[in-house]
Amino acid sequence: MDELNLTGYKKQSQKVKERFDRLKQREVVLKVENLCKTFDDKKGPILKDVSLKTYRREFTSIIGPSGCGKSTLIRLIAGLEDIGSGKIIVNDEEIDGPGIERGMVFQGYTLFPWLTVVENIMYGLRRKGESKTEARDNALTWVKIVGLQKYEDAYPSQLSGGMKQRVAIARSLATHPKMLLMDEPFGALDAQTRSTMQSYLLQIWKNINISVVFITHDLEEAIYLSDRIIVLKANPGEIAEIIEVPVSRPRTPEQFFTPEFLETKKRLEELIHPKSNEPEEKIKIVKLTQAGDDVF
Amino acid sequence: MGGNSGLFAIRKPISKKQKRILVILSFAIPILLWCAVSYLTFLWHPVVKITSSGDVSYFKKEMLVKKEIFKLENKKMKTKGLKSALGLPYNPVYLPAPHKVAVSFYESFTTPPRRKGESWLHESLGHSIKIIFWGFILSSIIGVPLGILCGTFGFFRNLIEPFVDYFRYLPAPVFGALAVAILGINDGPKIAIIFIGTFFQQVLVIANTTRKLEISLIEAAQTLGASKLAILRTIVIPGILPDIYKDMRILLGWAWTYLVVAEVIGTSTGITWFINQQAKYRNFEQVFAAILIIGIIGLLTDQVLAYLGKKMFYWQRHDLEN
Repeated sequence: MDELNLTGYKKQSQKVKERFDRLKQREVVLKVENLCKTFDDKKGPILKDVSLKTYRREFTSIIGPSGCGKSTLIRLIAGLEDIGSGKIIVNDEEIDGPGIERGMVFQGYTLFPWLTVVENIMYGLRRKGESKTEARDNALTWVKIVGLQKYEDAYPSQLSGGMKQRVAIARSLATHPKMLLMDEPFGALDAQTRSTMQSYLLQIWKNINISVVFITHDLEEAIYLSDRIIVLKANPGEIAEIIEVPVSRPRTPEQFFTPEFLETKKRLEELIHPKSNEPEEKIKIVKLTQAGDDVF
Repeated sequence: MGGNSGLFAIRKPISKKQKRILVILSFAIPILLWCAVSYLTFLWHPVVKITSSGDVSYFKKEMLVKKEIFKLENKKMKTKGLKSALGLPYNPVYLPAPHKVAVSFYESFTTPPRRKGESWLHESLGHSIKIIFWGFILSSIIGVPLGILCGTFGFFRNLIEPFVDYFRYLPAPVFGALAVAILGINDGPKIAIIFIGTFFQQVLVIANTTRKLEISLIEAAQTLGASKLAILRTIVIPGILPDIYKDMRILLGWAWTYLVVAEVIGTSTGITWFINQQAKYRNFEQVFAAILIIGIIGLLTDQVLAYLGKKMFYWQRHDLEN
């Protein structure tokens, strides 16, 4: 029985298998080779010997317990931190600092508060050297794609959290990057908005040529969105397993209850919260009531 | 009701009407206290204004004497069987009554100065404002960019801030003599004192404000292909502008406090000279009037600047308008 459960998530339907075969035929967009990173020598490395690759138009999630260095990993790929040792290659070129071919959406809202929605989306286009009118026209197309026509001249302080992240996604995609890096982009949103944003992201992703690397700590989110899930373990951050999600596309929220979805989720849980051999610490129950009226 | 509403709720907004009343009260209460002390003779009034000197040899009409001396002299007169002096309870000369200050306030703009060559109140005030303006502008032209550089680049921070940090502990007045020696006795050294008093604080305050800018905004710009110069120009500066504006309002207030020091250096000029001169003549009504004017100018400038700030940085408002 155990045996069957453990391998359940590895079973792929013919359709899914073919999809992965085709995926691996595509060119590699991102290649991480033997990446190590240490911030503080006393604490040891935060990332140790991480190697992975993602293909064109692949949706990859990185998941792991807190402190596994998943945020560090994506920041390294974005070029926001200096690489310790190893290599990060994007489009056959070793990266050195941030680059326009790698767009990033952060967890916190990073819209520029003094710019309107359109102006925010124009920002990267202007840096690319587009004229004001040109950038504005392009930005307006993106405003339409993310469905915020009514708010094109609004300031970020006037938007809800979900709207802000939609603008942030549009801002990153407007410059046509090869990759979209997302660091827990929906982490600050409420459950309702979050699931809307997930479907929304899938739709955008389906329609444009982009590889996504997505950090999350939400297991269901990772399964729902990804082709492959890279599971990291903590202290030091190493790859525990790379899971090919056996759920077929197009994805719908109903798939949350399919056996392959549940099997995958179970495996992720095992990897992220490994059962330790130590007995669980018992919480002492302090009696709060004076009289003998036991509540429990 | 609970603890969440009413006048004394902790960190809850107060209604607009109540707010207006409280603002009026915050000015009305000190004025009422001043009136009470001035007009209610049973409150304080430690001296006596002589209305009739009686037989006390050194008393004169309109003279102010201490209550105890007045009583002592009258007691002496009584025992000698001579005529007692008469007088009214009065406040010392340094606490003029509100109406007298109000009259003096008006007169200071209408009556010419006592001596030829002395300046009118508004002339003195104009001169003071000129000194502050130039001192503050010169300091800002250098201090603000330097502060932004220190707040943005570790290089400038470590090169500049240690010295500035040391220098700001040196009180500006100690440079008075030096400034006169270098810049002469006219406005130069005065502007220099305002500059010294403002500049070193300004660099540190602006640097700190710059450092408070959310780093993720800079990182977002980096991932959008912004160069270092572009980040400085399109992210750092617009991002900190509202806070810098607030800092400048506070720094301008400090510049006013250095004015008093600046104006006694070299030749005494400006509002400080005016106040000292009036105090010498024991025209305390004029002294009060001048102090009031400084306060009014300060308050008005700050209110105007606050209003302009709200207009300029409208994007900071946190309201959904539609």
